[in-house]
Amino acid sequence: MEGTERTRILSQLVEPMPTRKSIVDNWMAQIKMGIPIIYAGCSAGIVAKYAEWARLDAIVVYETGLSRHWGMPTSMLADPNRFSFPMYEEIRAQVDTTPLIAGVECYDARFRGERGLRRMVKTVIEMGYDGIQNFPTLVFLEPTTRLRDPLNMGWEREVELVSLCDELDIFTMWYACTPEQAQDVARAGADAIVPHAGWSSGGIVGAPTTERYPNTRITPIKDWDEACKHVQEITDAAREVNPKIISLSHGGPFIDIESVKYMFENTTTDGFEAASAWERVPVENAITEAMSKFRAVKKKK
Amino acid sequence: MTRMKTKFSRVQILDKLGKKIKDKEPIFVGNASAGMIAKNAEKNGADMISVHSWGKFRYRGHPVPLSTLWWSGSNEMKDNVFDVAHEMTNALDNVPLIGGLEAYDALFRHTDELLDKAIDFGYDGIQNFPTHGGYIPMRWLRDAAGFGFKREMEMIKLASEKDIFSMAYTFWPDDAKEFAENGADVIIAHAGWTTGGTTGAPKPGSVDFDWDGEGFALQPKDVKGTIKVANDIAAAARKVNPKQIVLIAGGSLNSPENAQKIMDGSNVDGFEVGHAIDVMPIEKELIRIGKEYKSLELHPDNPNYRPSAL
Repeated sequence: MEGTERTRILSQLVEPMPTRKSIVDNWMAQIKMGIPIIYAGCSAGIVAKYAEWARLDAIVVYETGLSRHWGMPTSMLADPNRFSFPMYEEIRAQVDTTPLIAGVECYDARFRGERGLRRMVKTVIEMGYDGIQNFPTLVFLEPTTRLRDPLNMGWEREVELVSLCDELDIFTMWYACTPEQAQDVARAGADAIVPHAGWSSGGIVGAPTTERYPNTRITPIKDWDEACKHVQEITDAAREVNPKIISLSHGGPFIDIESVKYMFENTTTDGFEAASAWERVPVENAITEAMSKFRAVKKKK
Repeated sequence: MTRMKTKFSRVQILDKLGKKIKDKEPIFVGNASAGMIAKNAEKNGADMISVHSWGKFRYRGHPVPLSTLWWSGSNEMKDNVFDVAHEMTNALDNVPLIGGLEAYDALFRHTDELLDKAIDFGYDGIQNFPTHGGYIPMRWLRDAAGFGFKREMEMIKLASEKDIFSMAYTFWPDDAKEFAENGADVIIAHAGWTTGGTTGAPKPGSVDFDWDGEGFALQPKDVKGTIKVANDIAAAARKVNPKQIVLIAGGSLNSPENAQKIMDGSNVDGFEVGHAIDVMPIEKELIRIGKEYKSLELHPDNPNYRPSAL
């Protein structure tokens, strides 16, 4: 039977995938020893390659990273899944062992309803991603969230996706900007939450550290202590629901070794997501140094 | 607020380069593999930015030699020189942008269309990349089919006739003379695959292959070998045109220190660097910073940090 033969061969060609449990166990074992979990946002093969080389704990792929490589400030691009899904091949070509997480736009109108949500998960898991994260996300803008929820295309849908992944035993790490959001996803069964302190500031094209506008949580919290307090509140809220949930902080003033070290000294978070802090600021610094030295080369006398 | 990228005519580019030569400063061409690289190259004083269809290939983390072990089709590949033109012009303000064109493309039999398309897309000049210049058997095979190295020579000639600024990658002294006769504004002496880093060319002497016997000029070269290529090509080109602008690219031109050694040992007017301004610094910095992040320690009050339980 032709169908049987095809199934036999295809079953041997499935991309290997770490189980949800193996990712969580590996991370918990490191946390137990005081080793922080560090994962990198990667939107180009070159930065993913070195994330794997440096043995970081996960690589996440989402569309805003592309704007960084274009030399622009981190920008949300419309129709994000159309950018991020096809990036799989480029990133996977450089990543064999590190868990590769798909940043998905949960409220993509092409994947409408319960059936659409399942099809979205099928798409990324079939491609070969090892887990799912909510990016882009509506956690930053309270008014947008409230206006989109009646359309079933808002925050509630992001929580629904966590529940679906929990049911299917798929690894999830979820952005949260408030203690309430963290508790929502902790209850829905997320393996990790990512307390988000706003856009990453710093570097050549980083977000300006202005005061926050009312009802938005996207401008970076500029004060280190205030950002640590924000991270701690979200972490504590999530642990109230699930003491074993992993907290991986991100954004705002946490952009380099010095600030992240300060964060670990002043919060009980379990790790850090380096996105601008991985594929933008260190790259800007390194290439600027190389280029300025090339510019300084002299001709022979 | 910048509203548009400045466009440069051939004369304007040549004036800019002439001024550098008069000031006895090397010409620095940054080969950009992403908007972020182009933007920072301009900020750091690069005199020109060049872009190839294979640039993104490097930015995806793939090895350097793969980009030249190919026959054709790069004008149509994913993220080709036309696809990325907007990413580059969007990142740049006031620096000439040079596009690498595959002259032997069977889907662009009419080279003037290829040149016009590059100018339409915002390029201020062109260069012959990818090139079959460095591999003689490939030149025989492809020239016999009508889509070989001769097309690269014709493209440079046509660019000159159309008053489009051109740079010609050159591997052999005889080609240098011919490019100079055909009006190439700049000749780039190509010292083969760039060495260094995990994606660079194999180390000089590490591959068992009869490079010369096989008619191959891309083999990795050390600093001395790179200097020799620079001087041989410059001498040949300047026999035809004593004022010929000559740059060096590839080989062991992979760090500012080596660039200085090569400038000290040769008579060229400057250099073009790509691998050395993206892969090399990014690789070094990310591996360093990644290890440093992993060596930090969690807060002792973290409920899951249990040193006593180990």
